[in-house]
Amino acid sequence: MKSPTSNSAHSLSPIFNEEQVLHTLKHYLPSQGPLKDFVHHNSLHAFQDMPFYDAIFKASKIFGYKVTFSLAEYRNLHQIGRIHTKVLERVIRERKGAEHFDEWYQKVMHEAYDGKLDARTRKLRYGWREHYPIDLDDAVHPLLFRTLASYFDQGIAITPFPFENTGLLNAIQTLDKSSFAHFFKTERARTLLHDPHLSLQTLLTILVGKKEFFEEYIYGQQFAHRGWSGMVSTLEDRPETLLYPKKIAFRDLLLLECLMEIDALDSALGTQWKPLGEITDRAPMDIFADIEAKEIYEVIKIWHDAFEWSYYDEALSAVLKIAEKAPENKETTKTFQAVFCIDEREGSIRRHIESASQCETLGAPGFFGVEFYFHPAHAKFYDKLCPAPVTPAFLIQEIPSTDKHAPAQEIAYTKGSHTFLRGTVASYVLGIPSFAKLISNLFSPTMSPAIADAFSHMHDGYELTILHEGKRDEKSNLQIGFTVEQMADRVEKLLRGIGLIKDFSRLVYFIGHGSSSANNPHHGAHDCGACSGRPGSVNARVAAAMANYPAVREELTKRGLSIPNTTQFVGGLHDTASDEIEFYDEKTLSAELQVLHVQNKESFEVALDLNAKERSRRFKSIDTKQSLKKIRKAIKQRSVSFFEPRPELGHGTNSLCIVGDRALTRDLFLDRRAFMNSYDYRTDPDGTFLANVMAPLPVVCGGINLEYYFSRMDNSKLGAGTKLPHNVMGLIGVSNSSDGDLRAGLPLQMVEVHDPIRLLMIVEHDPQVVLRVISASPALYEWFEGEWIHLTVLHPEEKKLYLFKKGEFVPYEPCITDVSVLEEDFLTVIESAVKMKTNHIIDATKENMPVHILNR
Amino acid sequence: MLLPLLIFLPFLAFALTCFIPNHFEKSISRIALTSSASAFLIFVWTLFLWVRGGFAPLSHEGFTLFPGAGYEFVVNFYMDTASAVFFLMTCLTTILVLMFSKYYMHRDPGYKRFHSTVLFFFFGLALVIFSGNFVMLFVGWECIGISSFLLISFYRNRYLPAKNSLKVFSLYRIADALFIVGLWYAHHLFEKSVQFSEFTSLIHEHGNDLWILGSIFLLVSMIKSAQFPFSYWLPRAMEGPTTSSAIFYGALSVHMGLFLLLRTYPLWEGSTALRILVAIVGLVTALIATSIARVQSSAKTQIAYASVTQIGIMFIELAAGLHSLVLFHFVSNACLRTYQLLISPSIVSYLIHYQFYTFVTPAQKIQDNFIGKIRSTLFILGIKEWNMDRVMTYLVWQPLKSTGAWLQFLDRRLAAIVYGALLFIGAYVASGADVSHVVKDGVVWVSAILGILFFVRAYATKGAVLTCWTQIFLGQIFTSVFLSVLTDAAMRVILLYLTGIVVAYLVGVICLRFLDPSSRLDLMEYHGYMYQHSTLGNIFFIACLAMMMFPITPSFIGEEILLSSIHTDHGALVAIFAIGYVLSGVSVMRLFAKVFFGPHKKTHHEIAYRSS
Repeated sequence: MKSPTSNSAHSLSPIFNEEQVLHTLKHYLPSQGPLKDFVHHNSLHAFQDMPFYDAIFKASKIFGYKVTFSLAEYRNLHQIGRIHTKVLERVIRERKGAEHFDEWYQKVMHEAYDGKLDARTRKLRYGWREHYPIDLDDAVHPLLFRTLASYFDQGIAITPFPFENTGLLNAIQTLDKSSFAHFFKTERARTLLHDPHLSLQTLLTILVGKKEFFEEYIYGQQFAHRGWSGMVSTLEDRPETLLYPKKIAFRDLLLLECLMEIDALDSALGTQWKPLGEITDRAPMDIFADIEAKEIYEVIKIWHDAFEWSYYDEALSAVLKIAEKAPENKETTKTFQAVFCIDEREGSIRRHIESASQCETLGAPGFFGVEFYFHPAHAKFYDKLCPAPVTPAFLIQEIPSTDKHAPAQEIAYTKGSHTFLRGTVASYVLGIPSFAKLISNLFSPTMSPAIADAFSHMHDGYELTILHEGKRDEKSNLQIGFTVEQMADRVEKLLRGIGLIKDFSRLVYFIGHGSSSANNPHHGAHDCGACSGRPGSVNARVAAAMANYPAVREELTKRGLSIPNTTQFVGGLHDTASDEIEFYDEKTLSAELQVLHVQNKESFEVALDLNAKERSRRFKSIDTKQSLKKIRKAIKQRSVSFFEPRPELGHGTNSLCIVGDRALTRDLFLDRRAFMNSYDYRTDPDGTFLANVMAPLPVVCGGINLEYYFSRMDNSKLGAGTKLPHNVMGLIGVSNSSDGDLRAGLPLQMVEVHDPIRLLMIVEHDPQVVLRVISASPALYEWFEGEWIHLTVLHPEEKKLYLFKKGEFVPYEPCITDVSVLEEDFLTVIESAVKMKTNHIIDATKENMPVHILNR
Repeated sequence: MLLPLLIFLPFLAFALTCFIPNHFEKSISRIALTSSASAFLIFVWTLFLWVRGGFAPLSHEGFTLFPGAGYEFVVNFYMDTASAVFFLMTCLTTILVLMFSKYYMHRDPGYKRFHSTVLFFFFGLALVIFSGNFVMLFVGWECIGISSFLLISFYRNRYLPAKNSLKVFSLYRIADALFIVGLWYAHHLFEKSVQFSEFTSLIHEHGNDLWILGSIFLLVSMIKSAQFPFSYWLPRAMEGPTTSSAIFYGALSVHMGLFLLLRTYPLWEGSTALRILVAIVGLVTALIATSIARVQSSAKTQIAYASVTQIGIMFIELAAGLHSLVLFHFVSNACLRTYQLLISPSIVSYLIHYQFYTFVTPAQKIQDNFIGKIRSTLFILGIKEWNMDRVMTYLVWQPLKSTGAWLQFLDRRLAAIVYGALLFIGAYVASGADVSHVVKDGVVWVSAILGILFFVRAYATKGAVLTCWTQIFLGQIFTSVFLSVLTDAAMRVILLYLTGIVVAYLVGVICLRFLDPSSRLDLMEYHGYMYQHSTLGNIFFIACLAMMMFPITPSFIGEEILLSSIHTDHGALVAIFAIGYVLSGVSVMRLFAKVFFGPHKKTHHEIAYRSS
């Protein structure tokens, strides 16, 4: 996790070190890959080696990002009661000392500050417009973007980019040579293009002149279109994310853009222009120079802390109250156990299934500890199904029962409809049927090939190659299937991690999750983050099958983890958009368990009904007071409606990550805001398994949380803006209109319910153990040290809270002690919940309900 | 009797939605849907009557505005097969898109703006489709243009929508100016204001002189239907929400050029040369657009060019006289492209999934021979959209900007002197009856040219906003002088002409003064004041419409009357007027967009990149 470059200021070097500059530049560019592999990550990952506030203010100064609310918005949040005065006062005292309280209170509440946003990277580049009658961005960007999109295109264009197998710049060279028309308008650019010794130095000397401006110029140039630059840089590092492989060099982009700039300048101004470095009256600037400390930063820090802690404090107070209660008798027999993904969206269904049946639910990362590539039947590629940083060594193949396979087609997407002859036929023949389809989707939306279907990820009827039989995949040399030993390792790690090592019920479910949606280029962001943005069905099914292998059971028994023979594991998939569950390999269940399973399925149905109802409170088009059946239908229809930009709300509102016993959260209404990883400190006194449990959480949950944070704070620059005008580019990204830059980050419709606060992690254990665990892993430690994630520990014996601050755990007393207890029926509360009036934060945040203790 | 109702209904709904606050989404959507559904039902009844009447064109006499002024502004209605098919599609796609948008646009800050604009567009279409004469058709035509402009700039706080809406508007404005020239020419050719119902009989009397009129309307249609060399505006217009792109540029707006050709078919059906020309335009467009569509890697742009290809083919079909085929092709193409646009965001999940099972790396087809060279050339040309935009800029807009830069000497003082001189001459003319034609011609030419120069100056200026606004106003004043002197207009008509402009100017000045008391605003950048002052922006927008002779003010009628009284000998002056018409519109909208569109200057809030 340590960044390759330090964020401390570096002095201006008179030598332009191209390699070094490009390396650093790539680090600061967005690292979002193609849409199909949507992996959440910290949008400001390049600054993660600094403390949170220092990092965001610096990033804001350099790149012009809006990283917090405005002062007016915080004050407004305070007025509507979203920021508690008690918490605000405590924060002022803690940050500024009780003796300066009055002074700072005055500043926080009333002082006027200039909160203007500007970007250092823009300044030098603006010189072109000041000195010459040319808008270089206008002249270069549209063709540059179109060229890049054509080059990286994954299958929209009918004619592929000629000579693309030789690399971007080579392809353009060859193309230019073998054509009657020229790529460039002017002679100099053309000559340079064909110069075999073309170097960035040469081009920058023409454009900028003075070496001391080179670096600044490149930043200005590339951050004028960070979307495409980031995409090219990411693809250079991870070319395997493209199905249609391309030869990629980030340097080519710079060379091409510089050539296009020279071409544009020559074409508009003749050769009578001077390099920017020679005409600008600005001195060279170190864009990474430290930023000056300003009082407004202090005030904003206070406000933002108060905003965050107003929520955290309430949540911690509630958790503490639950912990203080006498522990329940855990001995009651459970009808079944169900392990869900830690995903915060599964919080509500877990609550509902627990009340629908006397069952126990647990949380584990949704890849269920099994990491592999998946080769669907008849597919030409493999899908990686595990957290993004992991590189699996295994392959699971789907063995089809038939030889023939033709993926369902939607004729409106065929390339032929855009050509001359076939297009004419299409426009005669397909028009009326298309209209009929549109009408049918408007009135009764149903699943169609054009819609992303979470359940189509795997075919339940097909076998999987789970057991290794000595074979390796020829193409990738991956091991096909797992050995018994390897399976036992994974099952053991999973079960011990979540503390499920005794009291097994007859049926244990592993339920992954995925999401179906229509017209949603970002659908990957709704799937399981622990499965690299794919549905978790295969993982759930594989993990269940592993735990069912008799040989694995034997091996586990040897390791002191014995699972009764009467217990069977079943894999399943929950569609978080349509609220449906599908189970796998049901036929392998014994007749007796079949009966139990059928009963359990009924309970799942009840829970799904209630889950749909709870979710519907945020959907304006659904009346929450309707019958459950109607709500279920409406929820299902959302997931297959082309007109619905919010099939579900994704990870919006995520804010907590609780590692501990379900007893801590079972009686809490957390409003689907908490990632919940089951963990039993009693079975792991020295924290051996805690290290495993905690290791993926910051990357997965923290990544999600920070991406939502920044996309919400600055939806225009760090987010993708409203999705309504989005235009799909080469299947890898979205842009606005035909000439726009790629938009990295999340669209407005996904983040509008989100209160942008950092993740608060609550671990149930002895603080000393936790400290040892996090100190042992620098990657983990960085997240907490820089406060990119807040870490608290609930000491289960002392029943006390500790907060990680500056390298140690200090006791924490919640100041909000009156946590609301829900006396009335929970569903009535849902029915009467407020719906936001607009998606401005002041209105939107009203939709988020406080933490409640459930009275059940 | 029903045709006026079909036009009035959407307008009423438009007016109603203007008064509902944005967050009453349900009411807004209900008004929009109810009105368009009722229009549809009434239309079905109309269709029934029409079919029962044996498909004979329906014609409905309305009333005449300003009778006796030597010019008749007749309001009447007309419906034939083309109208029937086009209106049917209008109703169906509007209803579908409104239903789609009811959910799609949920919580967008422009929910109401979107619905109002679509309704206004619906109104404009109905007017075009059912108008009984050219002038009314023109009014509808302008409404479509303005609603297009508003929907392209729907996300007006970003740079690209602001820029591209201007780009498209500029082209539209050229088409409008040509249309006006066509109106003027038709008026003189037929010596009356033509009713479509009597078109065919009139045509027989004027068989030989029709080709000029036909060519003018062909050019207008080519621009509106994005034919070569104007095709580049279509993908640029897809800046708004996907739904608006679907209804405007997939289905209706882009096919309106075709409608105009159908409507004016009698004008050019007799001329073999013109028919061949229409076919050539269609063929060239189809070939070039398809070469562009093949290399587009962006979903919506590809659909845009594929659709343009089909419209090109429709031009060919029309030239061949295959009316029914054209109408069917239009319906089918509109349906297909609307559908493709509406589901275009889903292409990611579909194609990725599909390719997961079927992908084969495409073979490199280009070889080192002549065919290979042609292929490479086509690729480069395709990816650069055959340089259409660049050539247009180079030939039209850039020279204007350069000329404008030379015209620094034109200022208010000079205008006052010249205007004083003109007034003096005018007074002299008024007192002494007998003035030589030389003096009169002199006045006409001086004021006509001055008008143009002021417009050019306003178009090119990067200086103060208020000065630019005044320059446009002065341009209009000089244009009015030239028109009134040329036509010896009655005072009543001149007043009609001037009231609109003067009021618009004053309102504009007040708005700009309020916005910018210290007169610091310039036209270097977009200022994005809509973000802060949307009401003021809306008022100023109406002033702008009036200033550019949009048919909501008496100025438009005054202008129409004056223009129609220009004698055919003065073709050059009409050309000057048309150029002025283009320039005034473009400079007004440029000024408006620069002040109110784009990223807002006060950067305390989030701002999108210029490139996004």
